[in-house]
Amino acid sequence: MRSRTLTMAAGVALALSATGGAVVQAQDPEMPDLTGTTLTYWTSTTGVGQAIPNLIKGFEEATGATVETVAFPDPFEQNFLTRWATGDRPDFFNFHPVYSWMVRLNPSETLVDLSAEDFVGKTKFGLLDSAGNEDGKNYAAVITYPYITGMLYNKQVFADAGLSIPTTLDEFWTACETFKAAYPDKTFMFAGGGDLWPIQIFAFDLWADDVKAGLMDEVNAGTTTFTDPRFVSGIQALQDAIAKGCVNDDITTAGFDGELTSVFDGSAAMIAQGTWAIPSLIDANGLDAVNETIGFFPLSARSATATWSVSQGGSFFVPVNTADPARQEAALAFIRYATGAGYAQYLAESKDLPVLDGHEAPADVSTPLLEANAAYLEASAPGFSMVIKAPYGDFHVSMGEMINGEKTAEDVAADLQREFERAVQTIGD
Amino acid sequence: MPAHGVRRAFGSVRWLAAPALALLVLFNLLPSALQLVFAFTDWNSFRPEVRFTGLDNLQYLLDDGSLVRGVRVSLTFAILVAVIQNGVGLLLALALERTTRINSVFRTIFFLPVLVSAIAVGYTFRGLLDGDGVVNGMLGMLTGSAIDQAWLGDKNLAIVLVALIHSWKWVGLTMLIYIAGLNGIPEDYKEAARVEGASGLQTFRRITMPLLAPAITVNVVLTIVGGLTTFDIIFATTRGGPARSTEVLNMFIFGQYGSGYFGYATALSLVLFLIICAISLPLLALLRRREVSL
Repeated sequence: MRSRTLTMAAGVALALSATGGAVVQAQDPEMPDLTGTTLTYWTSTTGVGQAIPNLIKGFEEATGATVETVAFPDPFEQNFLTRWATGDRPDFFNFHPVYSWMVRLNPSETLVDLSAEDFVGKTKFGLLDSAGNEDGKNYAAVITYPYITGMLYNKQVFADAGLSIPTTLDEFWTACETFKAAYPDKTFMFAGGGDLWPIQIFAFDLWADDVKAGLMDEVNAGTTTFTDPRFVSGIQALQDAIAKGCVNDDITTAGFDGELTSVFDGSAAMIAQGTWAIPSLIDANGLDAVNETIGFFPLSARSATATWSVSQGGSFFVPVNTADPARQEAALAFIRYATGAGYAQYLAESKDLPVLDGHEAPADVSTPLLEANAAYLEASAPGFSMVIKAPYGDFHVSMGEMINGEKTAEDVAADLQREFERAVQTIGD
Repeated sequence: MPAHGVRRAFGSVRWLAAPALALLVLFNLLPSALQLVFAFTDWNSFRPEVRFTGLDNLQYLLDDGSLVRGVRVSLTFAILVAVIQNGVGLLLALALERTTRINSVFRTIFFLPVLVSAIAVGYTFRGLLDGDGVVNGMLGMLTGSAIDQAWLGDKNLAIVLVALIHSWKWVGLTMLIYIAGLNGIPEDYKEAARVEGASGLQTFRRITMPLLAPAITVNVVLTIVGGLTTFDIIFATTRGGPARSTEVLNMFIFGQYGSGYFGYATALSLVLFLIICAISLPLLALLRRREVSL
């Protein structure tokens, strides 16, 4: 008797769990009915938290489609491109909407031109004039606000040390000396050199002043090279920071995670990072704690200029699918959903600022993001990779060699120039 | 049934090999032949057309310095692997030479890593050797103080560690080949040596080692070629870092392919192939001659 009751109870529990228990959302009548369609979606494993996967789920519920997500681990770009090179294609995917990356996909032949879609006119800041743009055609839908890089800093540590916010590199060095005297056991700027990519950001930020003054036009035209002192000084700054004791001792092995924990727990005063790191800080510590502890300030060589860029996290492309136009149309339905019906919910969940017109910022945008946005609107330059006309090699790997003592800043600059010239030659005329 | 009746029913047996041969040609010989063609082109992901560029790829390879570094790292890795794997494999084989029940159990245990995916092995050891990993935990317990050394982050140690991991995975195979070699040595010789008053070490040096020559040939060549063609373990543990200290040629080729420089990557692969031939063929000839002279 007892065993029969147990079996029935188990059966009921199983049935309930199969239906999810909660109310199943009805399909949205405004969206096309894609029941029975399976779409493949390629993305990176490091995205924007849960907001994008939930956007995908929302699309599935609104249309009845099924989306199969394929997430490439790091190095994302290499893994993605190697698979792309085999001729394999997803139905839609995330990738960097940056010319020097997109050129590797051969957009005019392989990607759907989205210029006529609604979202193009609704995207703020004329972002799509550069992001996802090749030869005046728009290939990407961008739903993430531009990423802004500068310094994420611990407000309490700054206050305790009596530091004022540096606005130039010289002030940065002065502040470092003051800080080291007051807190010999703490780190002034924590850098995750073990993960390689974080150590590029300091250089990118320091280049902003010159990029704003037209440095990249010179590079693209071939009238200057990366070995120009304006670039080398930005690269050298990290090496100087190591020599002056302004960074962590374990810079060659520390990681991005270390950056986040140290700036939050106060063992470091700041990290050179971007606003993409803020959701991770919020996930780990809660919005209120982040608002209270973390701030943002821009820093370039000679002024408080922020750097902005757009990354793959919320940038969507659709490959041309001549074999199955219905599936291509279904993928476009996702683009319209992500930039239309699903966008409001994405904003609410991600606490991102709106990049499309007609949407209000969520009420609980974090303090550091608001400060970064203020800096972006006040004085900013595009990240050099947004405006460079060809790829430039593995800058992060060369930086890694530099901090490990294998290369000088001049060597790193020479690597950049050599790879850039090679890419320009390969892309051809 | 009469034999010629069966043969008439099946025809020539050689035709049965045709499907396998077709696969070999399609997936092995054809790509190898195409490699010779594409290595001299600028095939890339930026443009659909492919242009013949002759020796430009090779010129860039030499100018760049990456080839020299890649070869140096690959050779270092291969030699480390050859020494470690053969040394440990031989010791294990000597210990487990006799086919007893308990020896069979241990032979199986040591052979199991050979069957495990190299990527899985790489990721597992990466976790173990992490700053917060098990190895540091155990060292911390032994020494009484917290250890957070990032073992794979040491640019001098990383290549040795990766060679050790690779050897750990493959030593079972080396061991089995040595066991087969040892079991092939007639007991009479060792018996005779014992009667003559030879010590264990003398027997090993004068009788076992020379008669083990064929097994040594096979194992040395296999371990060196295995070391030169490695990729999975390095990809899973260090991705070629820190500071390119573990960037073997295959890792570099992968990076170039991923950056869209397909022709260049193919040229590098061709160079790697030639290096492997240049090392393994003379080595094989040398060891074979040693076998004969012994």
